[in-house]
Amino acid sequence: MSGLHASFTVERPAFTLTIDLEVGTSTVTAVVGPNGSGKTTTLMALAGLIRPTSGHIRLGERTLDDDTRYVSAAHRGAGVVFQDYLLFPHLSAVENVAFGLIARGTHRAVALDAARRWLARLDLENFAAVRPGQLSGGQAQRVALARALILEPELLLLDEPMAALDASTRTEVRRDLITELRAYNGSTVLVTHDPTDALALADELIVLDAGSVVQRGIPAQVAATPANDYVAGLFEHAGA
Amino acid sequence: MPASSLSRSPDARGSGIPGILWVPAGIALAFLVLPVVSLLVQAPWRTLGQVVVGSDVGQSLALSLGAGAAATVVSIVFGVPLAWVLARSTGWNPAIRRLLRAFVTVPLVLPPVVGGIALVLLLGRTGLIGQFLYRWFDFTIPFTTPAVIISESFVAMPFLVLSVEGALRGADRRYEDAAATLGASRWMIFRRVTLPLVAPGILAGAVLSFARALGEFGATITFAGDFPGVTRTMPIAAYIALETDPGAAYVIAVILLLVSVAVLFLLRDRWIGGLTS
Repeated sequence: MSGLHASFTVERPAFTLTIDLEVGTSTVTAVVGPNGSGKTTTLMALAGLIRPTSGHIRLGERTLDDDTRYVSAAHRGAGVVFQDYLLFPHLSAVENVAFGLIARGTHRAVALDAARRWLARLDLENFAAVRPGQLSGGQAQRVALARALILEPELLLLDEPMAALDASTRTEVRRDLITELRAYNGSTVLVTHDPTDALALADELIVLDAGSVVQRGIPAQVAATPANDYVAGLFEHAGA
Repeated sequence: MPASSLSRSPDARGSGIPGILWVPAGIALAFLVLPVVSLLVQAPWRTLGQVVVGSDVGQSLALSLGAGAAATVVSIVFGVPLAWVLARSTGWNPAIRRLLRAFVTVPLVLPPVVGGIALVLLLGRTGLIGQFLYRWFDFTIPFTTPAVIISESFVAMPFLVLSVEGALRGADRRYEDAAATLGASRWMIFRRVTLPLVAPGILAGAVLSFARALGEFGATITFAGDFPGVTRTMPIAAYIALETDPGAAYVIAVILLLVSVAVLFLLRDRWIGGLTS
């Protein structure tokens, strides 16, 4: 058994999220939905930053969360690219990328070397010493991606990876992201409110509304045969 | 900004200040500024270096700076963790949190002399804790240099705690989440992420604490007394010198003023900068 297998419920005072996900290796699943539909909650639960009220999360042979077991975020090893990237502002790009290796006990010099190789791979070798504040949105996204991928996670979680970018750079950054995700052989879960990103990046689509899955399938199929008016509206302007 | 704004204010309301308020406003400003001006005008500038080197003033200055620095270190070492508890104990009973905050704030509003008396009653030879120190170790704290540091820490630490607590409340906790997903332990997150993020708050709190410790008079003279070279800090020396050697008192006052200006300079973005934004 490999890939991500998750089925869980998160109960909040005014909100209940119920979702199930099966994401194979080398596969990208996009969770799409409006603000407040439970997308980010889904991601935080998968990352181990919030604990579902019930259900299970399994990754490969490992149970990350069920009634008897809970693996904390620090031991879960899911790579997360946060919405506004959350690069540590006081550390340089290369120190950001090396952070996870150092946290896991890798010698500092070795970790920084590995981080430099990752930056070179993403055409950022000239920005190694630069603080995140000086990076463009696209560069910051790649640094955030390198920071997550350097740990070779089995699960990669992307929270609105394009939301912090301006429209002029979005196409190029999206293309680079597609390249990186193709090269990555773990399971990817991406959440976005933008159907264009979902159609471009995902192998499978899950449409979430008010905490429930309203439709799932291959992106083109979902766009062609929307289950309800909400899904139809979602893809109306996506240019699919 | 368009050139026309130099001659024509874009804000048609003007300042909106009634003419009659200019008079009390001017008096208030003069009241705050003139004493400092007098000090600068009357200070014996030519003999300043001589007095510092050639009298007890140098000794007091060294003691003040040393004790002030020690009190600042004490405030940081114990105050930062306390600020952490105050900022992050959101799951606790609100009544307990309010009580904790009140305890931290009390030294801010307490007359320093009262603080000094309270310290005597705690650490003095017959105090709650002091009696055991005396009985078991033949050790008394009052009227020693450590007593100066304790008095100064008592009045200075709240500044640091409140400053750091504010910084912690303002810090984005999602950075800690990001660090956690990268496998960082709580201790590593504290050391490598949160602490650097709130460093400006710690620095501001440390500068405030140092300034407060340096000017401390009431608690110090009550708990530590006035012993040259041991507990006679700058403010105490200035007060004593005013009767015997006014020139030395002026010199001390000028030095303390310069330190205050330096503090204001260090914190300018925080206090003065707020006017422009």
